[in-house]
Amino acid sequence: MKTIDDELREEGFFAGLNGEELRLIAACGKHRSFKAGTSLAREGGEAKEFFLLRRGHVALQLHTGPADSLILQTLGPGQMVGWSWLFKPYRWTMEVNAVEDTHTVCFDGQCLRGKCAENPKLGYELGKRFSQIMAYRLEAARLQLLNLYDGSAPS
Amino acid sequence: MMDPLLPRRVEILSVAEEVQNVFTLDLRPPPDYGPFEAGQFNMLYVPGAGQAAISVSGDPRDKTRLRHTIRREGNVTSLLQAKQVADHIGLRGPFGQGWPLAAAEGGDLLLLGGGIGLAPLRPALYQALAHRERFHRISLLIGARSPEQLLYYPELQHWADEGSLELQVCVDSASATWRGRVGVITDLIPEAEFDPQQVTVLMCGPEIMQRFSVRKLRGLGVKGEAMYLSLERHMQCAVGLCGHCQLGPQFVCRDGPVFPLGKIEPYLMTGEF
Repeated sequence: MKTIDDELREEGFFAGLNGEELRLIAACGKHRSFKAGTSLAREGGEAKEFFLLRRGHVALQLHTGPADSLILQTLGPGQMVGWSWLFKPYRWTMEVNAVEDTHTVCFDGQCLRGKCAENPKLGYELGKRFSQIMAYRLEAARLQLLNLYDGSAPS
Repeated sequence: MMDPLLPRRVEILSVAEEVQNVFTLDLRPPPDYGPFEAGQFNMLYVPGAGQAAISVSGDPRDKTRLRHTIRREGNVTSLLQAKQVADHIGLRGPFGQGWPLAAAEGGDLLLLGGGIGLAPLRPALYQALAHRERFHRISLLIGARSPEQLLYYPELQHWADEGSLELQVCVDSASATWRGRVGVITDLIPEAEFDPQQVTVLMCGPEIMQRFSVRKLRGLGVKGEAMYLSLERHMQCAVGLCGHCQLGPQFVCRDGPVFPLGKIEPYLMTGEF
């Protein structure tokens, strides 16, 4: 059976990290699975954790009314879910629900923040990688906001 | 052979709403029409109002009707939607360069359609599926604003269910009941099944979508020569005379609307064009 360390080595997000850094990160991780329709995180809830998706898809949702919510993005295998654990006040800004049965590596954010504080290079490496994700998702969000497909955006 | 500048009077066979603000108009082809190539367009006239360039969205093998899927966004297209069965409108065409399906034979075929951009791709799909053995994998990636705005979805899903093609869909946003993907169409590209060295890519949709798709495909090793884009510009004469649709040294009506990437790339990235 693969260890978490082995699994991290398979994912592009962790490419370029050395063995010691991977071991430090893996030590803060554990496997967690979610049935379709169950929640990985609640909007406003304490962001103690983040997830590496190994199988299945999740939906990032925002409540738009008492009984309504809108899916703003879906994420799948190999993608990271959650960066609120990195920033105060450490609260989830969206709800995360499993669209299908989903297997993850769940990381303890507090554990990892502590290791980053002791090992600034590790913190820098993780910060770079999460910044890349944020930049990409910001670009995607801008495109989604343009309403490209209904012809209202300039070509 | 039709005189390219002389509109023919054609009968409307049906008008059907597809999704909000998008409808499909079936016309009886004039006796001297065509045949059209997948990716070509016609000029449709509403007498007294004006004309619009509309891609043919139907099956090239169907000689009984000329199908056009149209987004209502101005006077002419609104008047077209208001037409009734047995009414008549004007038609010139077909015009322009179509999709290079013959060049894609023997390899994988990847189609990217955003919104109404799926309409000019559908004839290419009909043609490719009619000769399925000539292609290896066929993947269709489609983007839409919402699940309710997905064009031709039952037909596409049917083709996917029978194993004729791989279908992936992505919408900009959706209600919580949607079980598909939400995000940008470029996210689907790395998941599609194709060999970057053996694929021909056909794309049509908003130009911003096409620019980002080109960037993503290049990152995966797809060569520029394997990418073909269909562009939309304001077209008038449709035969490269009036200059309304000029794009650098090209006229979209005559040299396009389907272009190999290399012919138009510098102008795609330039604001003034």
